[in-house]
Amino acid sequence: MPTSVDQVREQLVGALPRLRRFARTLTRNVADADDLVQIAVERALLKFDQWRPESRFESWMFGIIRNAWIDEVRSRRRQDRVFLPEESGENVGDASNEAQTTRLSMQRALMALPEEQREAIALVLIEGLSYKEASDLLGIPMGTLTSRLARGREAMQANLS
Amino acid sequence: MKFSDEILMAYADGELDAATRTAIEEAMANDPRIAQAIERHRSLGRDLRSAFDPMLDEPMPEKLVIAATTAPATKPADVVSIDGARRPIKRSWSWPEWGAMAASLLIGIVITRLVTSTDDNVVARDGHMFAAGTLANALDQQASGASSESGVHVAITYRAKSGDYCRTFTMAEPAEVAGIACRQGDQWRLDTLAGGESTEASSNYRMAGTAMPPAILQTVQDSIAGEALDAAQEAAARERGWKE
Repeated sequence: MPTSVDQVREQLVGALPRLRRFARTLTRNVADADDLVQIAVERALLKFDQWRPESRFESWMFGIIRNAWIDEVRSRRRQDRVFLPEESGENVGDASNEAQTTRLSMQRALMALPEEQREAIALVLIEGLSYKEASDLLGIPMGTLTSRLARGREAMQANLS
Repeated sequence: MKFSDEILMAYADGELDAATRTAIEEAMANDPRIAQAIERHRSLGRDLRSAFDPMLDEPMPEKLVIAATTAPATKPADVVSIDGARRPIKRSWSWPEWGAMAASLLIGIVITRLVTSTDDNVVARDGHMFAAGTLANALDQQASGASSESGVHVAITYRAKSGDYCRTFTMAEPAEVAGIACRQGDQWRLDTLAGGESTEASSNYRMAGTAMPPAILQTVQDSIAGEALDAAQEAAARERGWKE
């Protein structure tokens, strides 16, 4: 079934919150993440006919975000301004202090991981991709993905305890 | 424990086949450490999701919605690959000067923008355009991402699949022009140019100042070998005069 550009635009608008979230796990910075999503959205629209409705739209977009991160945004990121979303004043809800503290420390623990472990954990544990989907997207064998997940989790546990 | 932590992690993530799952569940009855390890994996997953789920409810920046709904779905018409445009022209007549390219109105517009400047930014030789003046100096000297008095912003440096160093740039003055310059000998050959303000649609969604038109990004994506250079690699390449 051919894909229409309107279909893709509609999917894009709906996916934006998750695209921003995934982008933040790469950039570790809200402003860079938004720039990254914008570039990825522009790129996706230029090749919208490459998306197949039978495949998961978010996974296709996560791949485009990751490529844009690697070849465009990473080199000009605001390197001296790495901070977490909640520290920027956004996203401070009415949750109790304790829940808020747990959330912050989880975010910090994830952001402290090396990029290859961070992106694996973000895709599988936060975005809910299967190991197969995540390893295809990252272009690595399943075994490599599994060991990145395991090492990342171990490091997070150590950091949190 | 007879199962590795990786296997128990895969169990917690729902990634195991039925036979392995059953084996783990049977072993669990005799070894409480198995259930504990699985629970530890699951609880990390739960905590992560509750730390990152609230981000989904944050207000959406308008620029992203505008990009998703209005960014062009095909390459803008005023973006031209100079190589691509030259071939058909070459068939019918010789082409000693790039001025002949004005045969293509769109290319003409872009070039006019680039050269209607007090100091010439472009010179032509052997059917190619090369950067000159302010533009050439910026491409030679300026670090990617650095702000500059020159009016030229160099965004990234990368190695093309051909092995050449290439740099993407935007100029605000005398006209909005973006392009890709690739090193040839001691000069910067201008391979792809795009006018900045040519369509309503493009001015609506682009970030102010330094954003590359999507088609430039697309050309980079198609021609890049590996990744963009980081600051240290770029500085080293500059030291070597953009040679090997």
